[in-house]
Amino acid sequence: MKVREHFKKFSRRYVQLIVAVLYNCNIKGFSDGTIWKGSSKGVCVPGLNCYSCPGALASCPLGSLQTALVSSKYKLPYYILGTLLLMGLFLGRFICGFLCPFGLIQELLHKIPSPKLEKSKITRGLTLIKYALLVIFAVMIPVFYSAPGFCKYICPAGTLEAGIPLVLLQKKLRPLIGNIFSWKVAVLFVIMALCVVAYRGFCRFLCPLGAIYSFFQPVSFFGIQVDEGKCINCDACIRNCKIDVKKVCDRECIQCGECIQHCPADAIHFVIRRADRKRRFLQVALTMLAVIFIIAGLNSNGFHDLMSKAVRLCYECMGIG
Amino acid sequence: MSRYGRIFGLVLTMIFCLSSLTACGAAAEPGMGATKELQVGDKAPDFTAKLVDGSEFKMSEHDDEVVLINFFASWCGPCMGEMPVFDRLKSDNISNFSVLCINCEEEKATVDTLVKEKGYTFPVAYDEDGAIGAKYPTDGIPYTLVIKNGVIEKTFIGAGSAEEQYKEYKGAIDACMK
Repeated sequence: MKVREHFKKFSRRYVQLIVAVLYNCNIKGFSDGTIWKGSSKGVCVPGLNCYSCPGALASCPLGSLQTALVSSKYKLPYYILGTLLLMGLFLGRFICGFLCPFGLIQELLHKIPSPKLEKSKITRGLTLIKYALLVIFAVMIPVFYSAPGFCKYICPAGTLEAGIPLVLLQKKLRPLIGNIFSWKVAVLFVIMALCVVAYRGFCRFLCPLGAIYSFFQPVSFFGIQVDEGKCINCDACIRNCKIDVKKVCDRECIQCGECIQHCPADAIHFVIRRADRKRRFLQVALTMLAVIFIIAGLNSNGFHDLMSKAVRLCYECMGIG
Repeated sequence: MSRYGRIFGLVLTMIFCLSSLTACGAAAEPGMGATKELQVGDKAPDFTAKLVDGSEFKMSEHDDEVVLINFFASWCGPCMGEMPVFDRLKSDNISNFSVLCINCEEEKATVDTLVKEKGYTFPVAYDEDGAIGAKYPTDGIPYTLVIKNGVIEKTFIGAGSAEEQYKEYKGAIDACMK
């Protein structure tokens, strides 16, 4: 019984761990400093996980989006857009809560004893930064300045999972280290420090991928939902949530399910959501759009394009190009 | 977590397990993972490349000269940043020297548009299926090799500013000419 209770309490942590290992199970890469070059790199994982990480078996959706946007004047990135649309539509920010290895890292960092930043109106306001980063660094800089802006200047996952390990493992990369790499390492340490004091600080305030998935929260097929018939409006869910949510499953909710344990009325559950007519219409329309984009992308060699990028080290993303 | 949540988590985990196993079992890209990078002193593998201008470049026909081969792609910022260097090297009219930029696995139409838009004067080759890249394996691009009499004299990975790269490449070419 104790084992069962343990698994029930920590089931999310186990899913996060398994996912992190599965995303990065090219063990050979960690031993010899090379990256995986198989065809699985033509597929995106849902969470933030740098494809230049020696262990990564598949591509990062945010990195893929940026590199696709860099060459978007030559070819529209239907495949990546369709993939993002489909993943967001099916899972929304459930991906942030369960399927993002960098989310797990942030949660572990937050366990380090230190003064903690409580959520407030200010932290709620800070959550808007990620939308600005999405527009400026993940869209505008790639499109107008032909550089994967977020990967190149900010992404802490890229520095932690790819930049630092590869520079340590491959001597030949060390002469390439310049100011941008130093900047990225500094950004990584600042973000890690932020995550020690603020629960999921990167997710809440800075992650453009979380910003993308947040748009799908109202329409995602699967997710956490409050049973209005059972809810006693005690607000225990909101009070006990460490994220800047105003209500369960709003744009900030990472669907971690913590509120389920705190609900005295057992009114919150993970469900395949029932949708009203308007929402169902949106779901159907967006699913069709995602499928059309993916088919169009596959027809225009999108899988191969993504794979051919992801099997090569992105020196620029690592800040050493 | 509800029953739905647990079932969903289990299914998702199984999908990831299966896809990962499939991925691990999948054949690596030809020559990309299994083959080691070429070293200084190695013989430059022969290849025949189709160029954007319609002609062909056969490596073995350039055995008596210095050749600079660069691997690039339109999505690679550092690659695009150093492209003016190759125009400059071409316009230097160095005798007994050829430069060739090989695009990495992008479609012909993309390469054609890129070359037309940028107005490159140096030879640019297609490598849609990665066959040439497989003979010159590397972890990342830009990747540049300076070859003398069919033997690799110097390799470069990554790129700095166009000015820095010009000095680097010109230095390597001059060293080969001595």
